[in-house]
Amino acid sequence: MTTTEPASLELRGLDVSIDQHQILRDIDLSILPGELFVLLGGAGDGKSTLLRAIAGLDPVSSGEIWIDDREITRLAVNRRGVALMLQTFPLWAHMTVAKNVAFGLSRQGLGRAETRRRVEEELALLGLSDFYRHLPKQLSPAQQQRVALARTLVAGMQATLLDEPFSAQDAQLRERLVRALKKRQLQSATTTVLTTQDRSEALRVADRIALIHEGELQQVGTPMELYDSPRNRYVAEYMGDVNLIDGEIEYAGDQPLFRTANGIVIPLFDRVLKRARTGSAMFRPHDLHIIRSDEEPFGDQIRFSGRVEQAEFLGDAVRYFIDIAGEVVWMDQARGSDQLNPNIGDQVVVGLDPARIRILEH
Amino acid sequence: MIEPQQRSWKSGSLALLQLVTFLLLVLAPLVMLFADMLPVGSTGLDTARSLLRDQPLQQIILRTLAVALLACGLASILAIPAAFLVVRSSTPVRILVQIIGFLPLTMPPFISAAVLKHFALVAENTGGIPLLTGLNLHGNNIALILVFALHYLPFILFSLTAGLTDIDRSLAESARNLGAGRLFAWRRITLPLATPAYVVGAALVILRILEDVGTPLMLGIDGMLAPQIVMRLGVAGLADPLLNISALVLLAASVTVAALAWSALVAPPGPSGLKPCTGSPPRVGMIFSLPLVFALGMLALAPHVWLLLMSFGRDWSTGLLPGHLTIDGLQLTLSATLPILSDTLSYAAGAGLLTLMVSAAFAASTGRNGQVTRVIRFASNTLFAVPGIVLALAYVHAQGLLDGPFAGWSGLTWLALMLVVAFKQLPLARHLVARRLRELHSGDMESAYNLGTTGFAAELRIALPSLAAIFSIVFLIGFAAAMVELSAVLLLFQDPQAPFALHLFRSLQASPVAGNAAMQGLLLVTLNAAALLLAFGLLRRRCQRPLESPAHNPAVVRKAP
Repeated sequence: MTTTEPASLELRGLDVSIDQHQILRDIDLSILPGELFVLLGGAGDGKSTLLRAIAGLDPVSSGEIWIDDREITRLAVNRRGVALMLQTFPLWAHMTVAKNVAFGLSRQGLGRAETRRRVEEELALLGLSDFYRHLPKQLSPAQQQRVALARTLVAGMQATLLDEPFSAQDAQLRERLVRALKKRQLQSATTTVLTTQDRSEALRVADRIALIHEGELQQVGTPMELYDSPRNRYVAEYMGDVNLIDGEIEYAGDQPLFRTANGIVIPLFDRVLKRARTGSAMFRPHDLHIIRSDEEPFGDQIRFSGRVEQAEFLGDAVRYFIDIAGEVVWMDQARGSDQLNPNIGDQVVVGLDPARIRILEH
Repeated sequence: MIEPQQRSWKSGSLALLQLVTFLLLVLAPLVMLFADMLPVGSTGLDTARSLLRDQPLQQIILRTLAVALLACGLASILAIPAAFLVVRSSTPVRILVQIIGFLPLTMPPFISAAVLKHFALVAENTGGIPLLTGLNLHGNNIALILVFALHYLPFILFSLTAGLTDIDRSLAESARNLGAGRLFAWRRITLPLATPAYVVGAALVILRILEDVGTPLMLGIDGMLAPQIVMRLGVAGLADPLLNISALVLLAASVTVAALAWSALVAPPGPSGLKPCTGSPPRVGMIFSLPLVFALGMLALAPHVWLLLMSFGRDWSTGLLPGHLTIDGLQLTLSATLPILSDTLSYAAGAGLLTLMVSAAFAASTGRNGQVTRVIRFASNTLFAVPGIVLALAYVHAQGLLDGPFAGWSGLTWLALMLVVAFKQLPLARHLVARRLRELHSGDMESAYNLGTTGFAAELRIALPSLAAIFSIVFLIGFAAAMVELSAVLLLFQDPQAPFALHLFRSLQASPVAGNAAMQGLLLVTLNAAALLLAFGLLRRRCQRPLESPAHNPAVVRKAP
């Protein structure tokens, strides 16, 4: 599908300021050839600005941008070999869908038949085959966004930047498009950088993720690394529902212990722990489970007694809020016939594998 | 609360009233004029054919079209780069170019033609500019094209600026980062999207030129369609076949130009942009743009400066410095001017009010999509295509049909002139009022209805203050147009003491009183400029308000600290 070889993309100490406001600070990133890299972050955190800076649409205050062994920091927009799909997915109103999509190919000297074949292929992939001759104004916003996506993907540049490419799609279509993009990525191995605010989308689609907050990179890693081993509280909370309990770290010999304000003591197995004094114990709601009274403990499992404060039905699971010695934690219990289904006010015992606990140092 | 049935009854009556007004005051006079004028039957058609084969008429048509097209081309050459500069420059440069663009609007082109004649005369007498020595501007088509281009370029400049501002910056950005060079992206994206705005501006320029009588006559050119209509009416009356055929060809040419502009407008529009194509122009562009701003500024300011210099002399002066201006002379001029001016101010105010009334009445159908309303909307827009001079001719013709108590009443001529001015401003004025009414209905009035406001008086209490600014703008547009209207005046009035513009035209044509006339010209320019400035100021305030809201401008939100 691509006409050029995928390239590596490297950002070195990138700073971007717009109207004297610093939007991005000291961004260092190394994206591998053919990688599907996701920039994850909230609105206004600088994801779009970073893509625009890579594409050459926003000026870089300092730092360097490299594609393979070519520095492109000051290169003209059209010479960078980078295609960017803008967040607002602007389409050219005077051109049909086909002409919009074929625009990037028109500079590659392809024949008419080849251009048509590629355009049709891309439109088919995104479910737009019926709109070949339509004008943008005849399409819904979701369809317009897919046309913009097709236009960027088909251009076959060294790197493809997609700024929130599924934001206008409904949930069902988004699922399909994420799968289609992933499949396309596996086939074409294009270097792709995608931004999103949706962590589940990022987790599903990314080879690696960079979480960005207020213009600074918080953590870069595989989806599993960010989910299981977040570097800080922000990453932990952004990557998924989480229990965070503040406390002090003590040592019984070499064995670290975590003592909460309510006096609960948890032995720790987190090997990355430094000799910090305070921190937050982090574990995901699905790391906890309700234990039957006749269930034998296994391994180092820790057990707590608590009272069910609240229950929420999530569809495939039930979320319980459990008060353990004044500390409210939440847990998700998958629905099944052999599960205990306590009611609000019931006393329960919950189990937690201490290996699942991560300490986020303060 | 007004019941839906009551509402539909009210809107139905309103639509009917609008339709009757349009039929009575526009369509009927035009139909009657052409029904009487047009040759009917095989003999009549033969006459028309032979008239069209008449070489002088063919030359007149050709010259009219050539002058209009060349002037439009020249105006485009000046206005297009200026428009790009306006949208891509920093605020001071943008304001400067806009002021430069505004200046020509303040001076009627026939005054500019007189100024140019005077300049050429001075240049010839002093021999200061060798290029102009021996240059006779009387009957000079190039001089006419130059005056037209300079005076009507604001239509292209402002229309194109608005069009370019509406093009989202990201459209060009998308093309650029798909590998398109700056020029390629401009040619394939920006240019096609800006074309409708340019075509509308160019059409306005051509339409204005087609119906202009005073400017060609000032330069001694009578071989054009509009001047021919005025001259033949004076010489041979309504029965002259050449007058009829000229009016018909003029109308046909105007309708064709308007239809072309309309077809450009209904082509796929660019998405309404929130992030205009602003940003710094390329360095090379900047190098060319500064001399362009300077040249445009000189060109735009030159007639005003020269008119001021002219006003210092009592006679056609051959010197640039003040000649015979004295306090007594000034007093004499002012005392002679004031009675005419006060009549003209009353008439212009009347025309402004009439413009307001007609546009408000025609805009009242906003938001309703009945068949009659759509017809009315279309009808009011078609007035773009009807030359004022043809409408004035239709009124002259209708006046001739009137017998009884109104026959020979001069008030009818004034009324006809006010109607011409009001109907010519109707498309723009109706659009402005209708847009404000739409905003009002979707916002203020709905809130008022939700709070239980009922009754006409209460509606007025809410609507009137909200509409005051736009009503003032429409009034000022009508007022300014009436002050400088000359084509219809030349056709309707024989008395040189009638509207000030006619008096001024005659004075400027008569060379011995040029000093006085220039002073009067300055007065007219000042009044016109004041009215236009006020209207522009009010309009600017209205237009800027929503753009300043962060909710309407994601760029503002994005860049907020």
